[in-house]
Amino acid sequence: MPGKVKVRVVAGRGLPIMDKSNDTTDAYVEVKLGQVTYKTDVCRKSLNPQWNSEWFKFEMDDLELQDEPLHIRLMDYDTYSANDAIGKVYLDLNPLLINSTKTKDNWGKTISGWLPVYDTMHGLRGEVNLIVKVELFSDLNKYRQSSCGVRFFFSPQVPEGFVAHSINGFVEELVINDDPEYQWIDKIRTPRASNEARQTLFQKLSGEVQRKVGLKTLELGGNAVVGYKQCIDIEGESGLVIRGIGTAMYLTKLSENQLSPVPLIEGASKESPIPEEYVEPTAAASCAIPNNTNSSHNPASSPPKRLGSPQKPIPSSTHSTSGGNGFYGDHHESKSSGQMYNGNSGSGSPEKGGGAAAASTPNTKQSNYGQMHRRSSESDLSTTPNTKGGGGPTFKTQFQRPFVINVDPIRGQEFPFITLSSQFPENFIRYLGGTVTARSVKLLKSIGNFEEPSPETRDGWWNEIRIEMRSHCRAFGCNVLLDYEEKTTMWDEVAILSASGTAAIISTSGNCGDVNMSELGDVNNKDGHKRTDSFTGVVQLNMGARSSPKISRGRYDDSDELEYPCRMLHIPQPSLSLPTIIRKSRCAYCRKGKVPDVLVATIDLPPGLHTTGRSCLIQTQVFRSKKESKGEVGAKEMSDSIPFLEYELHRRLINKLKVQGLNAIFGYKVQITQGDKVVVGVATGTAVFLTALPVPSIPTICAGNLKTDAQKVLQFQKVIQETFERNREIFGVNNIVLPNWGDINGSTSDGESDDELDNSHEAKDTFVLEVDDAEDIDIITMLIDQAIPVGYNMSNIETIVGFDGRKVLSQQMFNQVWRCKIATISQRQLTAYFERLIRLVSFKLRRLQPCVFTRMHFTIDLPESDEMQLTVIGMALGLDAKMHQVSLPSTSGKIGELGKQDDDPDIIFQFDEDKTKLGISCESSAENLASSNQTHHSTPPLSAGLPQKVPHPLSSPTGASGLSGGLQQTKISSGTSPVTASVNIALPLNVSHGHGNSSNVNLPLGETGRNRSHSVFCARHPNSNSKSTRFISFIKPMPLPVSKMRHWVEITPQKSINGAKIERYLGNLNFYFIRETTSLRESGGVNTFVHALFTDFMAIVRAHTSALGGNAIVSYFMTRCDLSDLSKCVINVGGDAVFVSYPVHHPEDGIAIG
Amino acid sequence: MLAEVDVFIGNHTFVDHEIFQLWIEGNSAQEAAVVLQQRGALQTFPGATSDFLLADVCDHYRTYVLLEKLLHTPPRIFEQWTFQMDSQTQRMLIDHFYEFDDIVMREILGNKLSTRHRKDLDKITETTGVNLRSCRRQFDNAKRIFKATEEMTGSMHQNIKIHFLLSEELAKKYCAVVFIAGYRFETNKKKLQYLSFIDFCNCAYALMQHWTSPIMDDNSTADIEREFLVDLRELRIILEKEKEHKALVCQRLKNRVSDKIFAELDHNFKVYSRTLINLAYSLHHNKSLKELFVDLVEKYIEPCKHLHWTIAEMKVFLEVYSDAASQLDVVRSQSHLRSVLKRFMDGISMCLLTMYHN
Repeated sequence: MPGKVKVRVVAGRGLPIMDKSNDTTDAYVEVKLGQVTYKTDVCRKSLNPQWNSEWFKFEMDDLELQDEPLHIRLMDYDTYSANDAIGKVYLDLNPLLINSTKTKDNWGKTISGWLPVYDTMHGLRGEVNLIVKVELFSDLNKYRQSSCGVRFFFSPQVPEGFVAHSINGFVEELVINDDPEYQWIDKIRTPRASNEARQTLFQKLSGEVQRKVGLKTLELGGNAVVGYKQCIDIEGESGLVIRGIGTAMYLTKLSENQLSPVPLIEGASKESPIPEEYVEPTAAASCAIPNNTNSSHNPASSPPKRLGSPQKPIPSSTHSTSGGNGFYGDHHESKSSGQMYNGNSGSGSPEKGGGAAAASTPNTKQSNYGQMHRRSSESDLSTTPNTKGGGGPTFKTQFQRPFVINVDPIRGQEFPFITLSSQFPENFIRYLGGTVTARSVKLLKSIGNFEEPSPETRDGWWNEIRIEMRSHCRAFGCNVLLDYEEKTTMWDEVAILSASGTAAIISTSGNCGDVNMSELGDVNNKDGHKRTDSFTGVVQLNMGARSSPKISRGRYDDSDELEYPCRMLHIPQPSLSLPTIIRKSRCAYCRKGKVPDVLVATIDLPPGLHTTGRSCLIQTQVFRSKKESKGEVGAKEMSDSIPFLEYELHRRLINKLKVQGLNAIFGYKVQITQGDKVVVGVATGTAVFLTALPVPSIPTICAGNLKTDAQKVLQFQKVIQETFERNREIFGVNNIVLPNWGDINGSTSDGESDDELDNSHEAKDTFVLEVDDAEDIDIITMLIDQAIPVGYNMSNIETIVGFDGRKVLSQQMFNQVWRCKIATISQRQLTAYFERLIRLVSFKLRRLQPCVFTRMHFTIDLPESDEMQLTVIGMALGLDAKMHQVSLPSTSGKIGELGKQDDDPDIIFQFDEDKTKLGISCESSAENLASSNQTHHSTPPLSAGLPQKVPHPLSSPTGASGLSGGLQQTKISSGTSPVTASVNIALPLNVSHGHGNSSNVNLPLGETGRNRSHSVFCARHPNSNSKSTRFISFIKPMPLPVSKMRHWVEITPQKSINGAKIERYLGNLNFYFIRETTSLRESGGVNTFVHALFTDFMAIVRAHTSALGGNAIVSYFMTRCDLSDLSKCVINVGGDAVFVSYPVHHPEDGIAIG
Repeated sequence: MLAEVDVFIGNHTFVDHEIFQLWIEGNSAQEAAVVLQQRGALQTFPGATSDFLLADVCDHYRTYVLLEKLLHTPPRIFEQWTFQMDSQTQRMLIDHFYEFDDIVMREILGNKLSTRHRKDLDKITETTGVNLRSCRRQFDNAKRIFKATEEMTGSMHQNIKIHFLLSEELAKKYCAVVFIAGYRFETNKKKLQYLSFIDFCNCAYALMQHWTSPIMDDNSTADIEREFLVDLRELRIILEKEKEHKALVCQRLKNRVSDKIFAELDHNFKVYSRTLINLAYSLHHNKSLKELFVDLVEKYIEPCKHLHWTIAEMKVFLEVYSDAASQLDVVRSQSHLRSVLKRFMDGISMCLLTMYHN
């Protein structure tokens, strides 16, 4: 597909004065793409030149179009001396390549607007107005190396407005190049030329990686890469590496008419309710297929492969309507397609060997394919007995963003990794295992002497890690890793490669569990790494695994019970022998399954999980000093050190979690940073209280040796105890109200749980803190977090628990960079720095309070031996000070979803009605819950009971069971009526998913039984009054800091914008900035320099978004903020450019969370 | 722990009115933090320390310093990607940035608006007690607006409004500043010290209203009409008809002013009349024009004050004087002269009435 690019340079404005003698500039523009350069006329003596150039036309190969950014360079003309550079604009053309053919609407076809001109030495220097258009011609060459048409999403979820048909597999790519900074030529270049060469290379490599990832996606039959992550490793002398990973998926756009309310149909097997709507998208999809194949991105470059996946949705649709029996056909269908795929890729490898694109060595490839073949054959074997209807694929349509997943292809993959982290459809996750990480320490020097840097070595390294990860995943008995992520940290020549993810069992049409289990054996052989020391470890194994999916399936499906939302927490029975001991207890939610006592996962809180109280940010920091050893010795030391570091991090985190009185961590991230003398680990997560999991026990302190004062121990114990109690109150988990599933016999469940509890008491050792010396005391004191300022709630995930129903009045994405000299560092100090940082940020955002911070991302860097730099990025959401619908316990409310509710005027109306009905400030749950119909039934009797606190034994995890007073009974009678009754409710499509979350307020009828019990929950929450008053106490008459500036560009690290609906994704933007200054003092000092740097690149990001026709950036990230040498910085930022629409009505009301 | 770098940047630029005002007033970040702390900024946030406040103030200050460059050409505020603000905030920034203290501007008026005089600002700081940084900003703003609009045609008020996006009222004030600066009217003489900035403003408005070209078109400027000044010489003819003029005036003034003043006029009408007409006669000399306010004070206002004229009396007299003059046959017959007389008297009366106070 060659393409034609047309560029017109219209005008410039605000240019700098280049000619000091007469305070003007004689500017002209060079436009360069590939090897072709055009120039405009010189516009004399103007700081606001009008060029109105002709259309410059470039004819390019699409390969180049994907790799090469368009260079626009502004120059100042000088008659006698050399022309001076004013600055440059790099324009990534990829967003224009997505659907530049055959789409009728004009979106994403041109880039037009004012773009800031950037100079690496001076920052922003005016703006230039451009119009850029791309025309692509169809080319069905099967050997092509471009991947135009594959869409990329940084957002780790199925993009809004798209239907996911299949997850086709994990895609990764890596390119390596010499770093111009370290080449001889750098010595004779000007700093500007050097920086620009580097920045150009970054952009180019970035485009190349993305193109190659796209190619792999096409090979897998996908048309999009979701959860794409791209990283740059600046290794120094050994080169620079850009890596990209993502999840290949097949997506189709959900057309508008499908967004109408859709009735839900309970399937014959209640286990997988298949919404009728499912038929529509598939039908649409099947129509869309011919289109797609014709259009740019789906040419018959490899016809057999491609055939496999797009066809799948069609058979699926048949089975989904026909119910259980239909599964037979489908199974075979997808199986065979899977085979077909495998076969093809196998045979495809030789032909690909010729292509330079192949990243991994032929050898590994061969063996991989071997594995695949074997695997698929095994899966075939095991499929046959298993094709009974119950285990059918959970095709689930989300209300907002249908997510019709065929995960079949991923089973054939070498690595069953999924880079998505949130918005999984209901029932997609069958079981949540826990966090899996693997790390490996490598010595960069060892490959430094190659003439041409080749990607093989790096590929090999990552391959090792991925194999390791896969085996860990299987050790859990899980079939996929969700939120898979790869990171590196470097210091000198020592690189730490890390991978992390959440092991899970996802529902597939087959029984991957078996497959994986049978393969467990052969993957476990880790080859020793000779030259480099390698450490790998598994952490956070708090969860069990399932030995056989069949059993669990029998458990849930055959018993004809309703599906508990807590199911994904249940440890499959009987549990497999796991590498760690797991304490199990009876699921407090349904009283049926067995659950672990703690869950740690990297993913966002999955919708549907019931939580109590509020969430909070939880973080621990640990450092270890290291010798100043270099090379081999240094690597060895690092490799020896990391396991201890990681263990310590985990231990503290879990203890902290216990002290907080919470029992699960989501969004768990660990960053390990090497410095000159120390290595620092920071673990961050969002702690919540999962109702299903038991109440944590308080860590006990015991004297490790005789010298320790017994009195002191008692004293500490008391402090811990008090903190625990206090925290439980703060987070609203001191009174956990458990549902009573009317049909369960209380006495039996009690009996059973007693057994479990006994078990757990035996294995209590995790929570014993031994006090041996001062250091241990330090640890204990550090367990007690400084209380987060009142009016703030923080999390590093998108879901904020416990604030449903609050209106978001203002939004502010924030960056805070903090750096200081540290002579010596103590453990306590390190923690103090972080705590201070959080308080500082809170203080600086005090005008927004009450507010919540979401997606906080912390980075620690140790640029110099005596310097430390902390960075935090996040999203602050200013809430309405009033509790509209006071709410506390709830299922996970997706903040992102807010706007959709507002879309529906009915709902708003309904809220009001509810408010009046509820009257009392019952700190009930989510707006949605409170407003769901059931509340109408259940509230009146409740309101009477509300003010008085329900006597509730705090310490006993089972105490809640004793609660069932008369109140509860009444509710149940109103609520839990025949659960299985056909509750075909028309859900408004724009309402978020998740049963608890269903704000199906406007429904005439009840929802499923589940929801009823939810509402029962929330309405009864006893300590509501105290909480609401606490919130109201800090209402401040502060003016609204951020009004709704809809004509501006919203930037958010979240995946969606609160209160807005994403209409279009306009492409993924990825920017690299280099900024240098010759004199920090001249540029106003370090702070001013950094400040200007940040404002500059954010301006560029906004301008590019706007030029694409967007008004927001979602999933914004800053993967690299290299300020180590403050006079020279490298920054990598990016996100998905989107166009969002805001609801027109009630602008003052803000947007509700929930 | 002294932070080497402490930078906070949000996607939306939030301008805190209080901090911005402190910046405008020329306080250093440290001073501003102290002021805020005294006002209780830390009390609303338990556990906050003064270094938090300072860090926050510094963030704001850095933003304002970066914004300042844009504020020099206000329309750029609305066409940039760097600082996202709502239009209300943008307007507030511009208005506050270009806001000035009347006492400072009163001092600046007398100086030439050139960089050379920028260093004289210390003196202004001394006399007014306003922070030097603030004085500089005010001086630079005035100079910038002066330089930008000096050569422009069309209504100065409109020009300032369009190019600096100032509010109606502020733009009007700057008109006066630019006008006074443009003619280098003497305002700093000791005798003029009692006059406030507002007085000069009103005088400037009077002159701009009556003495500039009455024809408003694209080529019109805010300059005093040269022809008019030349024509003023013809008013001398009024002196030739002094007796007639005096009779008319006295006849009309009877019972409208106190007896004492009436007697004075009856006695000294010649002096009053000559002062005014001679002033008109000399105005076509640049020097006389520059000294206009000094002359008015020395030759007219001071004697009147000495004789305890009331302002009402002065008003009546000036009205009657102008009226009577236009009734003179020599004037009445020449419509051009009549209009010159009216324009002159209207302008000068407004100035005199404005300046006639203590």
